[in-house]
Amino acid sequence: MPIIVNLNVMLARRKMTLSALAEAVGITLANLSILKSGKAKAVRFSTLAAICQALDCQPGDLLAHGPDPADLRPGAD
Amino acid sequence: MLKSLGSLKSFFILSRVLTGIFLFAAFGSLCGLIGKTYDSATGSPEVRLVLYTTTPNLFSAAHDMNAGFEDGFAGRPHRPERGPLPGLRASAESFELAADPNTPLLRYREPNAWKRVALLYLGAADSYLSLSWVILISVGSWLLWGLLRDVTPETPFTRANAQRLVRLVLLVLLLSQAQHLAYLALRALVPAFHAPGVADTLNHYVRLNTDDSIPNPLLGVMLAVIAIVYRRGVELSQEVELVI
Repeated sequence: MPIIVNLNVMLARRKMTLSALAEAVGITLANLSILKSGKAKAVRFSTLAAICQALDCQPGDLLAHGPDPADLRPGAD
Repeated sequence: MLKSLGSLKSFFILSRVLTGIFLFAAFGSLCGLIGKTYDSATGSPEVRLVLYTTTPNLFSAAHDMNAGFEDGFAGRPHRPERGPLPGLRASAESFELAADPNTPLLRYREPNAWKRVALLYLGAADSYLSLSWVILISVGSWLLWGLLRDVTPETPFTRANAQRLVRLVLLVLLLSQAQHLAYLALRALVPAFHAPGVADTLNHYVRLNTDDSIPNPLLGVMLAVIAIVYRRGVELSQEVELVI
């Protein structure tokens, strides 16, 4: 997946734990762990907005694009 | 949304009740088959088989089409409209043709108990019981029961149910094709009696009850389409699970 999730970086900057963020945003810790580990296939705008609100940041602070030639093959996730 | 979920739940409950009835029927059919097997093996050696003398039991469609062309060319009425052979008479002492004009019965003595049981299992010696039918209703009901047990309005697509649907498709397709093999076996099991006015020997006209009880292969194809669409549904639901 060429999209890199920098949630752990932002959590460290804000000195916030994952469970605290989960409570603030109102989504489960399991789902937030999926997002943090980069296993998520997609993020809803509403979820992204809620995380940005809780961490006081921009979507660009959380997500980055790091293309990998393997990801650009047809049919690759 | 809530209304549709409620109606879906009601539908699932109703379906489970119906499948429970099917399972009960499967158990009844299995018991019936065991009882009839015992009767066939130990009871009277007389065998009664249903005949349909208008069309042979194998490649009926091709035969009907050919007969239709011949009748049309000769200006004769359609064969079933002419009625079954009015003068159907037995030509030997070893068998008897019962006098029901619509569905003539072939009656003869079969001393071999294994052959009598085989005729029963093929679906020739009983009006509704056959091994194919018992397998269909038992395995089919069991698969349907598992499918309905797993499915909920919240999780309608599961990998296990996709596999169950594939097994259901294979069951229907295999049993519908096994019918042709059953007719071949039937021709080998029933003695080749001749009757005046019938082109082939009578074992070519004996009918199996599986003609009515086993689903058409077309149903298997329709189920296969549903199984493929359902499998795609499983893939999509797994993707949705990873949407945060």
